[in-house]
Amino acid sequence: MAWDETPKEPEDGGDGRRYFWIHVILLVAFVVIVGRLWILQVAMGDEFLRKSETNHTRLTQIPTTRGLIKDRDGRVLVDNSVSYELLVTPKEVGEPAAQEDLSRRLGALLSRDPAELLRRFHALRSKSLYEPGVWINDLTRADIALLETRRLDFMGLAVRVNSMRKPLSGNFAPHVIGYLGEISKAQLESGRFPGLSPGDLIGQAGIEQSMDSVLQGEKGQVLMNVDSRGRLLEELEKGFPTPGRNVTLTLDSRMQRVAQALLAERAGAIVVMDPNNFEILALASSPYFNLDDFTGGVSRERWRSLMEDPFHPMENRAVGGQYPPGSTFKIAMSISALSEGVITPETVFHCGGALRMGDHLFGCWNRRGHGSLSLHRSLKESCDVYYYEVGRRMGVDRIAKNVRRFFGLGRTLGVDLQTERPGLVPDQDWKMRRFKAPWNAGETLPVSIGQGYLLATPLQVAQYTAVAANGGTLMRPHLVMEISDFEGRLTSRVDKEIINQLGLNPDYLDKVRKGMEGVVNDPGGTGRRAQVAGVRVAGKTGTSQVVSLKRFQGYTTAGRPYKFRDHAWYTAYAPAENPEVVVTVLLEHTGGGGTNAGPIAGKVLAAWFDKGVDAQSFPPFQVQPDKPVGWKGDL
Amino acid sequence: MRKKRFSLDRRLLENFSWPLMLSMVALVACGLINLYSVSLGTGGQGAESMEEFTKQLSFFGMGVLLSVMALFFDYGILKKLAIAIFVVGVGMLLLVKVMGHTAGGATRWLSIGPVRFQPSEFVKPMLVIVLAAYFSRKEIAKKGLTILTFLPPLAFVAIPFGFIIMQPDLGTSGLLLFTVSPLFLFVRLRKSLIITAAALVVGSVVWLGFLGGLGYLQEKEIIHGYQLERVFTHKNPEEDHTGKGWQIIQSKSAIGSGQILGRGFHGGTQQKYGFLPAPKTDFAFSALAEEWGFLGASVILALFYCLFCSAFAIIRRSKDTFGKLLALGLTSLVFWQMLINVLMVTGLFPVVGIPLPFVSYGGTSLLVTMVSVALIANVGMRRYLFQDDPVIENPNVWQKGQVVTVRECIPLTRKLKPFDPADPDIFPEYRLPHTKPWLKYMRRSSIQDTHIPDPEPFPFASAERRRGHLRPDDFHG
Repeated sequence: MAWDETPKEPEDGGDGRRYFWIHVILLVAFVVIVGRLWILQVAMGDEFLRKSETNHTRLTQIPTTRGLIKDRDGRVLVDNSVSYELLVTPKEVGEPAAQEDLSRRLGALLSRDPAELLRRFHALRSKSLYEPGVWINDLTRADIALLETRRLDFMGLAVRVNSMRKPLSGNFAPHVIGYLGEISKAQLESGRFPGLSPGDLIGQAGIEQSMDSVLQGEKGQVLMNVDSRGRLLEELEKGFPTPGRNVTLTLDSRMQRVAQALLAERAGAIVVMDPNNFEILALASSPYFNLDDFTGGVSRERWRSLMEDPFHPMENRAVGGQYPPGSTFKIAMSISALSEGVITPETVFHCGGALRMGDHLFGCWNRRGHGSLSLHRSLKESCDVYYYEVGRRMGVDRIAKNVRRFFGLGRTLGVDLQTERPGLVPDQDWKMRRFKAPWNAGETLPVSIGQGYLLATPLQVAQYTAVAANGGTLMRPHLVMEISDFEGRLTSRVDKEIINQLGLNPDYLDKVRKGMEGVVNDPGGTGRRAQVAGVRVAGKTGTSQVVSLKRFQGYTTAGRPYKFRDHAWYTAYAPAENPEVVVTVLLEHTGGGGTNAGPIAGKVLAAWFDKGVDAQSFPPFQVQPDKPVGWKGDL
Repeated sequence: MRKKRFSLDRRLLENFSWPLMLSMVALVACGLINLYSVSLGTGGQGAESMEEFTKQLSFFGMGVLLSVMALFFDYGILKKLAIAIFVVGVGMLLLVKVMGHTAGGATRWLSIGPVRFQPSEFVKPMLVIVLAAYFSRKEIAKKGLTILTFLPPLAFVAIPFGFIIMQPDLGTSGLLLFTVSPLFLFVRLRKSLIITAAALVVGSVVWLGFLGGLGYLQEKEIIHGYQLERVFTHKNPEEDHTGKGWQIIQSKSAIGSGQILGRGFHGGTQQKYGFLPAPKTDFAFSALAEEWGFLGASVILALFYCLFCSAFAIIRRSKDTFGKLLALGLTSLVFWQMLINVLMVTGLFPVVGIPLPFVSYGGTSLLVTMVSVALIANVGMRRYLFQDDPVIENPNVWQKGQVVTVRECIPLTRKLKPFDPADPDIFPEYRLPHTKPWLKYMRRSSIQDTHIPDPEPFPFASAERRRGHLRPDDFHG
């Protein structure tokens, strides 16, 4: 009966709502947990797996040895030596106070400046606090012995053996050999150095830089398992390092030493080259720096002093210095004019001391004039008016076209140095591009005597001398002769590479060469100071004006400020009949080419023919008498 | 007189919650597998590190014994012993305060001979018993909690809480609050009490947050700096690579690297190479998730879910307020531990030293949680004592007699299936021949007598029409 039916009591005693909410809480909790696990394990699983893998695997690199650099006789110019580095793990050192304490104790032990140590500690660039970084990179064996005995007092320190560069002599061809430096961030990002990491050393100048990929070798790698404290558990993979390959240069050490000794500390450059294959036998640039300063990193003070030096010792003048070639350009000019048919060897022009063009008078160096003269005398006596006339007839574009094609001026030919610069061969287009102005006919005349806008490096001057010497073949000048692997097997040899063959009547070229012989040997020649006993030398002097200020017209070289003095050029080859060596000498701001550069070129040539001559044969360096010691110049 | 033998009431077994106990055993088994893998380490010192595994195994055996013991008495005794239990609990905490063992700056352990244990672990279930006993008193169950009757339970909580926070152990004391909170929610509260409590909460939050109360507590060394730090480092673990934050990162890396299927048994590099902190205790779940992946972790969670659901079923079906509250408190004890631990290792909660029940290594914790679950099962088993109509609720039990021996119990395992109120075996009115057609080959009488009507003769035209194949027009031309 309906009225006495009691409503059925729910099983839970009326707490249904509470149970409902408890279940809701339970469900929410589990949904949160499962959702979180989904995010961690499924959505972000790959990322965490990678994180976990990098956690316990560590890739350690095995350093490799860099290849050697040898001269053409196989003498080792740059060797490797062992150095010891002190590594420090910043995390294990701890607080700043502990850092100071450690630097102080270490400084006392190794007798170094604690403040400097502390500064270098702060400058450590390790990837993390747990990664050891290089604190001191020039530990000696004695230092290591001291440290090992007090190992427990210096927690967090470790010693690493490292291979270091050791040049035969710090002064030997520093510009050519170059030095190592730490790879910069930009270089790392450029992608040209695969397999390298921050802190690795790469060549930063000279052959070390240009042949870096050959010399570098490949580092070995060990992939290993480590535990949370960094202890090695097992090696997973091991790749052994491949040593770098050795580079044999075309340099003749004796000639290089001779060239450097002759330059002494005068600013200038000497290029000695074999005209038959364009192998560079000596490439001296002065003033120079000391390679020993750069092994193990150059100190800040040294670097600053090198950078602030007004004579720019870091610059390789032989391939990177651009100067007006002066009268030496007349070799190139005469060959170009002959091949263009503008002149023949018998063409005669009259030199009255100057050439008038428009309202401007272009003077010869000899104000009294050379009279009527043909090609031979124009070279021998270096008549400017003769070449003004040639240039006027050729026009600047034809000059530019020919010297570029025949002698490789105005561009780099790819000598194995990255500091090589192209020089400048002006033409009408260039002027329009550069100055937005048309070419004036009067500007052609200075160019035709190697002045004006024209610029060339000593190497390029050597190039056209060599082209004249070898009968008209332009080749790629090179410094690297051979590359061999670490076991001495030849892997590649650099052959001569012909760039251009001059199609000139051999008789005409012979006339130019005769003119160059006349410069040295004939009475009245401008370069008689380069004569070598027993060998017939051919050459050409050059005195390139830096400025043509009227006010210095009457002054002697010594009377002018340094930076307004003329550059002295001398380029020569010998023997004249069958040339086997080309010598180009440039002396910056020194005065007349014949008087200053000529004797030096002569001595270099003499040294080439007399194998007994070495650097010791020349008197030690003397400061130029007009250059006071410590003089910074009004540059 | 009947021979005095060990006997088991059949109804006890009938109401025994097998899912609850089985999921617990499965969890412990998973924990042991995980502990074994972690103990293997990187190889090398195998024998030495297996010590913990064997220890845990023996604790599991002890736990099984204790749980069986916890099943065999009537839990109603606990209500009578509540005051004694409370006194013992507080006494243990006092002993810790007086002669406890100090490690890591905290005095938490008590040594009896070679055994060292944490009394605070025991205090949690004890407190649950005491509160359940108090709240199940008739006047409170009927009238609800007023301000006056609210004070004793507050004191029951506050005294052990104070002792534990002074050890200091912020994690366990916080867990204590979490554990007992559902008990308070389950009794009827008077409006006056709710208003007072709300005012107090708002007031304390204002004091702590805005009036410098936190600084005051720290000054008086009631809260320690590292405890606050622990809470606040959680905010940005990526910044701190050394302490707690580092632990969270490594734990997350471990869990995440497991991905879906895990890295396999003993394949977890995070735990194997020691990057995972405390892989046996607090971060056991991370180690497990690393090696068994999302699937393995889900299995663990499913087991926990099964455990909680069966525990709730017991709570819900319990007719006795004390039993209900006792089971609720013990469930809440296990639940909050699990939740806090899992959230902690997944980086959603600050790192506090709370282990995962059943899975983490730790003898005391394992024993306590196992006995707690056994007590829940005990509550469930004895619901028949409070049944309104035992015959209706357990009809098949009543058909076969009440007292059975243990040996007789064994074939009863086929009755493990959960109670089905619509079981046709029990209630003949639910026998439907079409749901279990094979039964007609098994039963002799009823099926044969059942009248199965002959199928209706097939009305061809109408059927076709219904299907829409033919329309009436087709017949009529």
